[in-house]
Amino acid sequence: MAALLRRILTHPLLALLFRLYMGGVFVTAAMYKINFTAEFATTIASYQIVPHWSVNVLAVVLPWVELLSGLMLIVGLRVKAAALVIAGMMVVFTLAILITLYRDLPISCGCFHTVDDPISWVTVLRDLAWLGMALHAYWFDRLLQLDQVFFRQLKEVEA
Amino acid sequence: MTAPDAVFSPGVEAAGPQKKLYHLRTLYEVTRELTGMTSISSILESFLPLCMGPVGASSGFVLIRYDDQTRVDLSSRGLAQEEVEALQQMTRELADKIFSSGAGLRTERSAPVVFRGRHLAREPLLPAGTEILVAFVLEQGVQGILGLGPRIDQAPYEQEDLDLVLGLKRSLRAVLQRAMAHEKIQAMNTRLEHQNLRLSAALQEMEDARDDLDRRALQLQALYDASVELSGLVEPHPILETFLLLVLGSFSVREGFLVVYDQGLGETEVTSRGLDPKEAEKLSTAAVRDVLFGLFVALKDRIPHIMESRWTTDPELLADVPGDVSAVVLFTVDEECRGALGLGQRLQGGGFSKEEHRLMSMLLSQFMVSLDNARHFVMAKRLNADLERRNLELEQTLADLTSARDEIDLLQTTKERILSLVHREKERVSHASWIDFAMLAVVSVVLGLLFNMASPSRLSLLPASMSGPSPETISRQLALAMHQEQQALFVDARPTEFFEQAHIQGASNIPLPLFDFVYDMKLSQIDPSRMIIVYGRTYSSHYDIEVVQKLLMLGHEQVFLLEEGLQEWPETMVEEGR
Repeated sequence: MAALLRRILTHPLLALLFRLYMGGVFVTAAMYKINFTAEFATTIASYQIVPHWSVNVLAVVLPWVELLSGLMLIVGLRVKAAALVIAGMMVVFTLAILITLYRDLPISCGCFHTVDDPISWVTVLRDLAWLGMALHAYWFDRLLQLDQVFFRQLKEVEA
Repeated sequence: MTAPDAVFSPGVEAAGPQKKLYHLRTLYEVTRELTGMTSISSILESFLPLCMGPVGASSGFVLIRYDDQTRVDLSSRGLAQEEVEALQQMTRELADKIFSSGAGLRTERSAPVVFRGRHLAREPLLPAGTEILVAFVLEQGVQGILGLGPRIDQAPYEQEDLDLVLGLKRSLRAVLQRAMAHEKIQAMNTRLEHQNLRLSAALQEMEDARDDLDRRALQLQALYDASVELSGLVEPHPILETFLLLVLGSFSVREGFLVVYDQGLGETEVTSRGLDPKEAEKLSTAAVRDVLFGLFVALKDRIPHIMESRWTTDPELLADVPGDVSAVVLFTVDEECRGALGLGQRLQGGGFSKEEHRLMSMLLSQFMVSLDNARHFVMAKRLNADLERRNLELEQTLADLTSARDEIDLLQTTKERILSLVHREKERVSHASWIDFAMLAVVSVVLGLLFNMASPSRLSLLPASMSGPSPETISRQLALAMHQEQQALFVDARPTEFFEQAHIQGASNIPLPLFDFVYDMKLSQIDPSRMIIVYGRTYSSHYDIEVVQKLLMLGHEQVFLLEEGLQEWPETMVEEGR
């Protein structure tokens, strides 16, 4: 049973599903932030974690990081790097939320929209779940990757 | 034989003068008669009657016996045939008996021994009736015996008779010695003649041998000349030309040709001397080739074997051969190389002798050896050229191989590097690398900046609070005084959520994102000269500065920024809610 469970939990198909899901989540999140950069800057500033002079830069760049890493997950390009980047962002976001919860700041998550629900422990759990999915994809994903095409060519060269 | 009755010495007893004269005359006559005779048998034949007659003997014999030969010279008179034959057969026994009796008859100087008496009649070796026997030595190894039978008158012999006999014996001895000397001279002459004949024959043989040696020397000289002249040549054609000249000169031939067909080298060598040019040209044609090979076929079982030659002088066979040739010598160097030597008429006319055939055979052998060497030389040259070409090819191949090996080594190195690179790339691809992160970061920054620049709602990378002039500030004490006197309007620039958590009593909340809307509602009607004190900033955003800047832009004259912000404001003057 444990083996079956382990097999299911480590199955590449599950990793593929997590990968596509996480890619979709980040692409969706990034689309709004890219279109409403000023609002996203306000959201960043509301967390009161980064210095004020870096807020706008982060607001301009971070959505593109999310978009590119999300697209890389979806198409299967440099999956491990993209998954690690996303996992890293999830760690940062989770820490930011935890800090915010600790400070008891009355702000919303701002993950997908400026007017999201206020930050809560549910948000933390959700982010932790997403972090797990990203790490799962990092460890077990090997299906439908663009890298595999290149990988196959490398193997042929090696042979 | 018995001992003689008496032995007489000649001339001891004196005779009558008449008888002595008779005897002397007899001796003279006998001596004269026998002088000049050279044949022993004739002397004996003549002597015996001349001896018997004066003494009156009825029979007698005289014989000469030679120690070293079986020859016996015998003459007899008045003896029966049987007695003569017996005497002839028993001569050696009789002589041995007489001359070994110790009578001292050893040399020619020994005195004769005379046996006389009746006892002689009992001697079986002597003819019957022998009364006087005289033995004498002519010379060493030659003895003579004179025997006389009874006198005709049956009277005994007297001393005078015996003396006469002894005298006659001396004459006979002298004549015989001369005859024997003559015979010896004759024999020596004969031997000399024979020796002369042998010498002449030997001389002739020697001359023949010298002629033969001269011929052989000539042949050897020709062979030597051929060897010398041919040995320095290594090409077939010069060998043919030299040999043809040599043969024509050695055999005194007016014209000739030499053709060699070499299937091994695939070449035909032709040379000629003295031939009509048109005839010479024909030698290279296939027709002449067929004619010459036809001569080989015509020889049938006499076809020359390897390194052999054969003469052909049949005019019918030579009819189609170019030139006025009298003989063609066919030769075979080996299975692939044959040839023909055509010889024209000789300067002195006539044909070729057997010796010349032999010489030609030897010269051709020498020629074939030289030609074979030259062919091998040509083959060796060709092989050398081929070897050189192959060497060049091999060198080129080696160079190519070396180059290919270097190329392979290079490719191998490249392959190893590529494999290493591939391996590293595999490792890199299978793991996240800093390059990925860097690339992602760079692309994100570039795209973000580009998009932001192109966006209508472009966001300044630096916050507005850092770009404008620094607003005037007001100290907390002065602001408290103004608050207590209500001389100033306090504006909280933070978002509504923060304002609701805590704000200065009486302050109006104008969050930056809703500034225009809220300003219209709350501040658009106030006096532009009224003092407005703005506060509200966080670590991440200076809302207050931006609101100050907006209010100044809207024409408000006394807009101040509260120093130290809400944190240092007295809690008693802080309230929650809207």
